[in-house]
Amino acid sequence: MSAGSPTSSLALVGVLLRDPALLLGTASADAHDEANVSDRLAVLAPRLLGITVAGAAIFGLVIGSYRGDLQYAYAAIKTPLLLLIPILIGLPAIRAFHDACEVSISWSRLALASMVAIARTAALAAACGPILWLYLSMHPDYHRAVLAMAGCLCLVGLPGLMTLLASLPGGGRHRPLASFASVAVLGVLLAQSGWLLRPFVVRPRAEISFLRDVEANVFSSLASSGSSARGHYRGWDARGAGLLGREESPR
Amino acid sequence: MIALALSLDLLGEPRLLGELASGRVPSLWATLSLGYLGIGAAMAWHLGRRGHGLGTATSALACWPLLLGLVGRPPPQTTELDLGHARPIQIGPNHSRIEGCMATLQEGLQEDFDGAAGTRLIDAAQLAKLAHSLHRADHRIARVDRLLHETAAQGSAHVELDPQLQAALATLRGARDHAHDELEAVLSGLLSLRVQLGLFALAGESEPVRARLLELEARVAALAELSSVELAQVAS
Repeated sequence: MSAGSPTSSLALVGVLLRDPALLLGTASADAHDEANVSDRLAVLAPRLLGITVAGAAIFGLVIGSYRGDLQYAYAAIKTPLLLLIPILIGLPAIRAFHDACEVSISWSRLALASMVAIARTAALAAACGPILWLYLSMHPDYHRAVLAMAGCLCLVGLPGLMTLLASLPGGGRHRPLASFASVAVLGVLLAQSGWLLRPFVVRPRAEISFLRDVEANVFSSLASSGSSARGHYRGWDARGAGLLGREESPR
Repeated sequence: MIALALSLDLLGEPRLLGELASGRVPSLWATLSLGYLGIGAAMAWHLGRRGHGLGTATSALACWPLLLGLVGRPPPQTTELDLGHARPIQIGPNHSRIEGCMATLQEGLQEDFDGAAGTRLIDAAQLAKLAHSLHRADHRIARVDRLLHETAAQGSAHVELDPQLQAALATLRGARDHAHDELEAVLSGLLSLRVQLGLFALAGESEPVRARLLELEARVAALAELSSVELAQVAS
């Protein structure tokens, strides 16, 4: 950390995509100095959050274009939340997993690594925007549009996830276990956040709403979709059908 | 929310979830949101009072869990990050040996001192700092090697070298050899420390290990200072 020429947000996005380790200071002179990491966090946090919100909002605008009208704004508001909520909720669990596996990591460093990871994901999502927009402009059916959105999110989420895992300190006996648990928690949180914040893609003639009513959970929905795909169609409503969507015996 | 939904599903009470969703969730959501924003506002106020920038304080309002590490800390000296100086150092010729020594030492700490006790004895940050200092010394040697190689290539291309420059190169070569010998000595010290770890663990003593590591750290620090002095002499 030193005084230098001002770094523009555009240059920061370049560094974020090219070499995110530079922002974390993994190999700088005082990389393990808590004060140094906190200083980095204080300087970078507003910009990284700004990049996250801007990048994810662009991606949201593209998703909203499938329906148009108010859905542009709704999707643009909700997509940044989709990226931020899993990190905000899952951070204590990730730290606890690493502590349990004897990998010592400070809260500031974990927060900085998380912010760099989601900012990178958001920047990549914004970069994917034009391709998705082109595809959505060809009016694919609803299910294909949802799959395209999910595919894009997976594609841009992987580098972000890798950034997060690579920026956590090495050592510890069961580091792979901690990494696996962290990925699992983030995955579940992302899935459930997406479920709570839906709809992102709205059918062209459907009514637009900011949020749908809270009903069951993402696993029940997946089970419903699965049974519909097998020909047992029982409507669009998800049902609370036991843990991970298992069916209950009739009483 | 996820845990709640899964628990209710596990208990096989989907109706209860429905009742909760229709009857109580709005007030629950409102309470949680107000609580979240309240904590964010308190944290933004705290950071503002400590002298942090408007951007940091505003970020805390929305994403305060990410900025908990800043509580009680003064603002940074500068509001800019010089990314040029934060560039990771390049790999030196002894990179793999240093990594191997540090990995062996870390394994030794975990095996001989039962993980947590080893971490208490020498923490990961201390070892990482030592590894970083060694890599920096190694990187300096690599840079000097490159410089000497380039100069030798110019000399072989029948370019006359200034006698003063030749003397400086000889001094530089001497400084390089000295730094290399010191680095070798520290690496040998680390390997012997690994052996000592087992012996100390059997005897139930930890203080000599810590003292030995501090001695090696001092030696690496001296190596950096020595290199600077010797290179300054070459430059003058």
